[in-house]
Amino acid sequence: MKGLIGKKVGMTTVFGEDGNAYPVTIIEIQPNTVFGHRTPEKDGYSALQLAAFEMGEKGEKRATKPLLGDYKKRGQKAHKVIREFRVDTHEVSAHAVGSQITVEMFKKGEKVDVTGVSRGFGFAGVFKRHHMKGAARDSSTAHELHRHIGAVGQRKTPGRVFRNKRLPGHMGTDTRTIQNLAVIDVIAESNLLLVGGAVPGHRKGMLTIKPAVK
Amino acid sequence: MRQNAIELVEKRNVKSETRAQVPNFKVGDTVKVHSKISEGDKERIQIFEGVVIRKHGGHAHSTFTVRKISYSVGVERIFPTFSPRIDKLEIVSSTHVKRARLFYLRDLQGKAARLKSSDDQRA
Repeated sequence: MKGLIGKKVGMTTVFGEDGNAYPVTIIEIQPNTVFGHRTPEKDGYSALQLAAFEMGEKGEKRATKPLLGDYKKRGQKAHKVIREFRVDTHEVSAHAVGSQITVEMFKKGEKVDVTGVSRGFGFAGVFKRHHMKGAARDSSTAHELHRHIGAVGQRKTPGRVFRNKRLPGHMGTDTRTIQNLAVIDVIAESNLLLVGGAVPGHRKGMLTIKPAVK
Repeated sequence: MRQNAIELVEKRNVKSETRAQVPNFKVGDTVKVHSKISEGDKERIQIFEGVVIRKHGGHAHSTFTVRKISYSVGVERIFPTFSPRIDKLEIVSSTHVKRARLFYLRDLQGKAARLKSSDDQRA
């Protein structure tokens, strides 16, 4: 279950060979550097640590001292993100520390799962947050209740509002995964991946792309 | 980066030859759209002739809407401008219009729904 770290670029339309128009999201995946290994002997599990989007001098200036020490110890440059991917032991040993994994890991026609942090909507009402319908707009009896929630509970029994009642509140900036997006194209020379449909998050948002689990 | 990458993807997909093949038509023009229809494993060309009432931008995703009256029923079809399903696009005639979108034609019938040809305007 190896994956890669990428950045959302934006969306456009492409025409497939069948003549259909497909909505696609462009994801920029610069070659990910193998930052480190996790081994069962040392850490109790096996995983690959991948680093993406090299930051140069600025990154070194911004990194915390413990992180900077880590970079030095491994002889690596400062990166924007470092993430772990759980893989089998033999796959860990197949990728030496410092080597790179490119977007060519994915092939056209495959399915992928894309994880990202959804856009933030702030404190949102029940219309936007839970798709409630509110009160009629044309009725004289609904006094400024148009975008309100209706009743929240019953009477003396149970005499309380049930847990998980859908109410207004903070919406967005949740980690979300969209499963089974088709890989429409892989543009290796520009480090771009085209997946069919939308992915979570704003432009320039960091994404994790893995082969589909289902 | 963002704009470059999107342009790159669009240019790879919609080649400049395809762009060049699309004639410079305007809103108000009567056009013949030769569209490829696949029935089973056979493919044939169907011609849709009518007035362009809307052009929608958006680079590779630009579209246009063609309206025609078929057996006294108004029919509108939206075509992606650079769709590979469009075999050929012909301009039959041009008219002089003062709107970018001719939605008012939907409320008009018969003689009222005619547009002034660009020749009349010059005279």
